[in-house]
Amino acid sequence: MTSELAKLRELLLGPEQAAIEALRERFDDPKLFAEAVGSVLAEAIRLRASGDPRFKQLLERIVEDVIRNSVRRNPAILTDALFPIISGAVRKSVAAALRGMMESIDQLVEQGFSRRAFKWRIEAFRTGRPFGEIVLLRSTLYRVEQVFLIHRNTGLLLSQRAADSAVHRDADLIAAMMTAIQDFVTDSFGKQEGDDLESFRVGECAVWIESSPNAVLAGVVRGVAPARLRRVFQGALERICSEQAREIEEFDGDTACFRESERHLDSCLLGRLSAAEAPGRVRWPWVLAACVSVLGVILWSVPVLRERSRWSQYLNRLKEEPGIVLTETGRDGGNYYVSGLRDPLAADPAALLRESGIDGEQVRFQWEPYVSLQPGLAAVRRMEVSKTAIEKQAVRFPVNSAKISVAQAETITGLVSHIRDLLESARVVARPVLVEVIGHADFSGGETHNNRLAVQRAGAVFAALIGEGLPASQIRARGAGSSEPLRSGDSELDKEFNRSVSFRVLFPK
Amino acid sequence: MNPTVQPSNAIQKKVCMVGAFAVGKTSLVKRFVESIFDERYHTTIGVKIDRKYLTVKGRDVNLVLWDLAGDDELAQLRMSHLRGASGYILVADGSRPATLDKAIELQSRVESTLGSVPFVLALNKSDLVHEWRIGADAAAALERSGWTIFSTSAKVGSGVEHLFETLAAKMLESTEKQVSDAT
Repeated sequence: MTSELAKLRELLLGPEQAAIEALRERFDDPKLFAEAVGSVLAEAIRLRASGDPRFKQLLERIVEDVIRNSVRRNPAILTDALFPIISGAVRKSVAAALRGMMESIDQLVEQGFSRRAFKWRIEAFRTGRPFGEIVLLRSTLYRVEQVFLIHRNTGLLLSQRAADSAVHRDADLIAAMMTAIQDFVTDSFGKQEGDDLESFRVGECAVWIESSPNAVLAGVVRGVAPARLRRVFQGALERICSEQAREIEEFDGDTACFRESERHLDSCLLGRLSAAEAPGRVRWPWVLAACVSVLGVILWSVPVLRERSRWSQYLNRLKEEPGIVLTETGRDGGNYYVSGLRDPLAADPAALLRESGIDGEQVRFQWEPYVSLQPGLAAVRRMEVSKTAIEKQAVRFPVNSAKISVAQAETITGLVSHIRDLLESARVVARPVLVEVIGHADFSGGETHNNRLAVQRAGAVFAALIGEGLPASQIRARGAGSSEPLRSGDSELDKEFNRSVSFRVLFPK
Repeated sequence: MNPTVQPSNAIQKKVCMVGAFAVGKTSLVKRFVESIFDERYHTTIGVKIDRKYLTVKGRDVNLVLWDLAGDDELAQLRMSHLRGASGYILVADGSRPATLDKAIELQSRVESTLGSVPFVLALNKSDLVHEWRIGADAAAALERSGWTIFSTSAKVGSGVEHLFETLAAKMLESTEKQVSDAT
């Protein structure tokens, strides 16, 4: 019965029993159990990690502990493992630093000896900042016009920003072509894994490229940018790569999620305008100080300059003045002095000084008299001679007569000659001159009669002179009657002198 | 063919075009794509980039086409240019059987670099059907092994638009499959 039951059980449940036995064996045998778990472990971890963030944190902690223990036990293992990566990274970083320094030095040398450089040195001295910093600040005029974020593996454009908000329509093509060029350059010239094209330049435009393992940041830079701009690009790329590591790694063509990175790209759109355009650079205290000093210089120099200008004008006038020869002029203490030769007929230097507006007290004169042969002065001298000669003459008349006697004709001839000389000399110095013909009568006879007689006598001489060809406009005749006697006595001789015509030379103003 | 405005939310895909020398790769797509680069890029850096916008299954797709220089004894295909491609177009000349052999060889080389990604074969110059030297059975054999083959003509433009659409659809399917596999 029992055996039959056992047989029946084996018939009914035999396969299940065998399966249970096999399962038990698998669980009990550590080797088989490890194999079973091992076959699903990777998938199990992946599923768990994707759904549960705590599991990831736990794994992180375990891995960190493992690494820490490994380093503590034998640092050589990890050093050997990391060496290829670290040496490359260090080499790249050092090369970048050196290149940045070289670029700075190039710029410094180029700009170190210009006029601007002198200005910058003053600024460095004034502000206490290093000269190099001032040069970088003032000299580099550039603008980052566009920035592209490119997926490194596919060359597809993840995001782009432009300074003037007009994004490039063909940026996707440019990004791909840039990647192709980068591949080409790396294939052709790159010696080491990770050697990348870092920049290329066309005219005043350059493309600066920063690479990370999964993404590339390319900036189109116009002008000469400072080397530190590269650090800005590096920083932006690092931030993007750490914030969107997963999106970049799993990129399948959908770029929508990369809008988040636009702010980092925007931070790369830097630029510096020229010093003249840069706002807020004016330093008012300096401008004010400059204005005050300029004003002070003007206030001090205007009277001085005006006085000097007057003095030099005065000296020029003296030099041009006929009959004056300057031998020495100058300034002695606060006063001026003038020495020289002066013709007595020459203009009065003191009067000219008053005309020029210079204080007479300030000037000391020392003149030696001399006779100038200057044509103007010679004419004046002749004029004086003629005047004296003319005024010495008198034309005599018989008693109660206005008729010029034959004996007086010679006197008239001499007079005409003197008057001609006088007019000629006056013409040379352009001086107006007038010869007055004055008729006289003696005291005998009535006053009315005498007056008429005197006018008649003057008229007779006037007519005689005009008759000799002298200009009527420069000769004037008048009768003085007996009121201007040439002699005051009452003798016959006195009377004879007073029956006459006398002459005076006038220089009207 | 008309200039298209790039939709900002278009899916971007890198597509490579490969083929033997002088199979008409460039002229095949010339009338269907937008380009800003000169033909000379081929001979200088070995690649020329074009762009093709499409709408497939209601999605805007921007294909960035890497037209790689022809592969022959003189110019080696730069395998680095293939990196990251989501799909590729093989081009062969229907009148030169050797170019089909080359395409088959290239397919295995590309697959070893890119892995299994969607691709299509364009048997070009279909307007010269009477000059065809490739037998229907050869093409049928390839189709049986999973290839998608188009007869195209750069001259009359037949088949080209359809070729792009088919490849784009395949790539989108492939992406969706990867996404569903991952979850």
